[in-house]
Amino acid sequence: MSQDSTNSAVPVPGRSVRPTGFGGAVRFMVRSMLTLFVGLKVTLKKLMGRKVTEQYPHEKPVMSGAFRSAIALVSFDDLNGTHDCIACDACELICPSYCITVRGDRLPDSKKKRATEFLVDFSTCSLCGLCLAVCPTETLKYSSGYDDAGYNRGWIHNLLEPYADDPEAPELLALLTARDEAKRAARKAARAAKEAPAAKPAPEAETTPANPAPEGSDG
Amino acid sequence: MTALLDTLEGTLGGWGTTLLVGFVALAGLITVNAMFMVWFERKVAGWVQGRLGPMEHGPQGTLQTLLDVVKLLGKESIIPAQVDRKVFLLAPVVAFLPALAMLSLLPYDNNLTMTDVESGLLLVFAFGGVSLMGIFMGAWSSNNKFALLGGMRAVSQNIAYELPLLLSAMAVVLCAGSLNLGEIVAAQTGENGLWFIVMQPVALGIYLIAATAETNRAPFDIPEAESELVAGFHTEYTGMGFAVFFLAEYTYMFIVCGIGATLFLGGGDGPLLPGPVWFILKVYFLLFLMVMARWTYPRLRFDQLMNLAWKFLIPLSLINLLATAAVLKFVEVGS
Amino acid sequence: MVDLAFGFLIVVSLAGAVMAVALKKVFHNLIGFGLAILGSAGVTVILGAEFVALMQLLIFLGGIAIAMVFAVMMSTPREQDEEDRSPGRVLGAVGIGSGFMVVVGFLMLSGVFPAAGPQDDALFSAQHLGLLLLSDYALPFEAISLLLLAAILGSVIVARRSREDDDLPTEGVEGV
Repeated sequence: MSQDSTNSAVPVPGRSVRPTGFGGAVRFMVRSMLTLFVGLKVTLKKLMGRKVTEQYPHEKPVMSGAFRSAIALVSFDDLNGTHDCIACDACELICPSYCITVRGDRLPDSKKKRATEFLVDFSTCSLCGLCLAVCPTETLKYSSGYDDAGYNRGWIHNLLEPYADDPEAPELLALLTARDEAKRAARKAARAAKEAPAAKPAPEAETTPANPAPEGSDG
Repeated sequence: MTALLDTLEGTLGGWGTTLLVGFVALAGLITVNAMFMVWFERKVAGWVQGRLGPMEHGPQGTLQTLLDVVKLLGKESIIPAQVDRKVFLLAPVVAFLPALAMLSLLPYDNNLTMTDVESGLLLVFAFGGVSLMGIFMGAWSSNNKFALLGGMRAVSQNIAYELPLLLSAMAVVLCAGSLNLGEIVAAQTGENGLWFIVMQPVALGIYLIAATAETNRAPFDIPEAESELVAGFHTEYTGMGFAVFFLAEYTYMFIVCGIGATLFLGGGDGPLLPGPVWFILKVYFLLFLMVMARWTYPRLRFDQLMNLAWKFLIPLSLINLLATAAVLKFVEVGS
Repeated sequence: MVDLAFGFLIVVSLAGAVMAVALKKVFHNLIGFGLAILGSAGVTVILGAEFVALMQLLIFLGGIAIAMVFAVMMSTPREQDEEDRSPGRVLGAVGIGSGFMVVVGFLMLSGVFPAAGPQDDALFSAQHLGLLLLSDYALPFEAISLLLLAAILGSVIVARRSREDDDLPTEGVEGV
């Protein structure tokens, strides 16, 4: 389909120049008609080909590990699968958009603090990640949920909701103490290894049991 | 079933029975065809674009159109204040009614046609003019610039494409020696019958292009070009009025493809399966081509559309007609 | 049954004819014209001349009425009130119309029409009509062809001239 409005005889690359004369016109016509079938071939191939639609509510996409969505609490195996928020307020203080509110209390008969409320207004969160960086116990992570929706502005997520059936306080206290002791022991071992003649460096495994790798479950 | 027919024939007489049974059947055909075609079109559109199309209601979304119809029926019919009320309300009816008459002329099988008219082929095309009046009535009475422009385009486009449509059909008529649709089918069946697609491939091409243009389908859908004219001649129509125009469009598609199957593909001719099944299969094959054309080719500009008809299709169909006549004469003289 | 249908069709075509002359909006006139054509085509069918009825539909409704639609485009916009018709023109139209009616009526009354034979489809078939047109009525047929050719050439010339008048580029803008 030539649209050579300049009427010049110079062939434009990628464009078919309309030939002159009767024979040329007929050939042009035939060629133009053949292009119709080229188009039809493309669509027919597509018609038979693979479909890319995901039937969203019925089949949900798996998000990549790098996907960042609303923050969630990390569950730790050595704490019987509960979080380790000590309600230090660091995340609340550093949050540039003031969307985190953490309340905490001491566990009974202990100095250990524990979050009782972890509220996030995700509508103002900019996913900057400062709270993750500042968290001393590394109990914050990005979740991979992508289809959260609320009915009004200022919809508050309670991050503690999934931890409603945590272990009872004495049990938890025992777990936390046990972990602290394990940590202290590890640190002592590391120091001992360092002070000893550096003939052979301490094995890697001994220096790192402080925080096991976070489990990849959603908040 | 036979008992019922006998009772009917007792009370209404043979003619009345044909009329009653025929109209019930045609009404069913029109509804089912429209519902199927809307679904099919959306499905093909999806597939061509790598999507799935409607999937939610019924297997593969087959019930989607039914729900759409229910929704459409529930819609408020708005009649704008400044329209020409009577003409506005009459227009969809005038556009749709000829479809019923045209459907009753199609030969669904050798002897299965509701009204067997001597020049059935011409009658089908004659009724096309009536429906065009309906379209223009809607366009004019809407008192809307877009509607009027759409109506204008529909009229000039239909005038331009009626000629190649008729001329390509005439070439087949020459081969068959009759204007009767049943006889045209009969000429293609039997001992040494040959489907006219073999003898008249050029006419088939012209016919398909012109038929697409006559039904205002993409790539010739400039009467309702969404990007320029909102919705063309039915811009002001809502609810039922719109639904009737919509129904008419899909019924006309069925009709032109039915005529195409009769003229070129041997109507109900085919092995194993019964005639009506073959006929319906052929019609839907042609409809599939029309749908594919819609999702393959971009819309023509108006001057391109006119050039295609007047400078290309009409001369070509005239040449085809002349050549057919000459060949037929030579064969006649030779034998 | 047939008498009923006949009467109904007569009423329809008369009503259409009245609409075509009496109404003020030109598009309403056009609808009336179409109605009259439809009615008379139906009458022709009942009289047994199927092919003539077809041609009436195809030519008058599909061709002439649709061509008139273009005239509607040039008519007064819908929202404007139409002017009253001048009595002189109305009188003139009535005069011409009734004159034509008198002539036709006279011819009908004085002429002899062969009685309609038993339904003979072959007499009205396209084949028979075609043979007649190319044998007995070859001269009128050719004359009409000539007239149409002249009309087509004339319209082409008119179209070309108006094209040359305005300065729109006609070369280079080409479709297909």
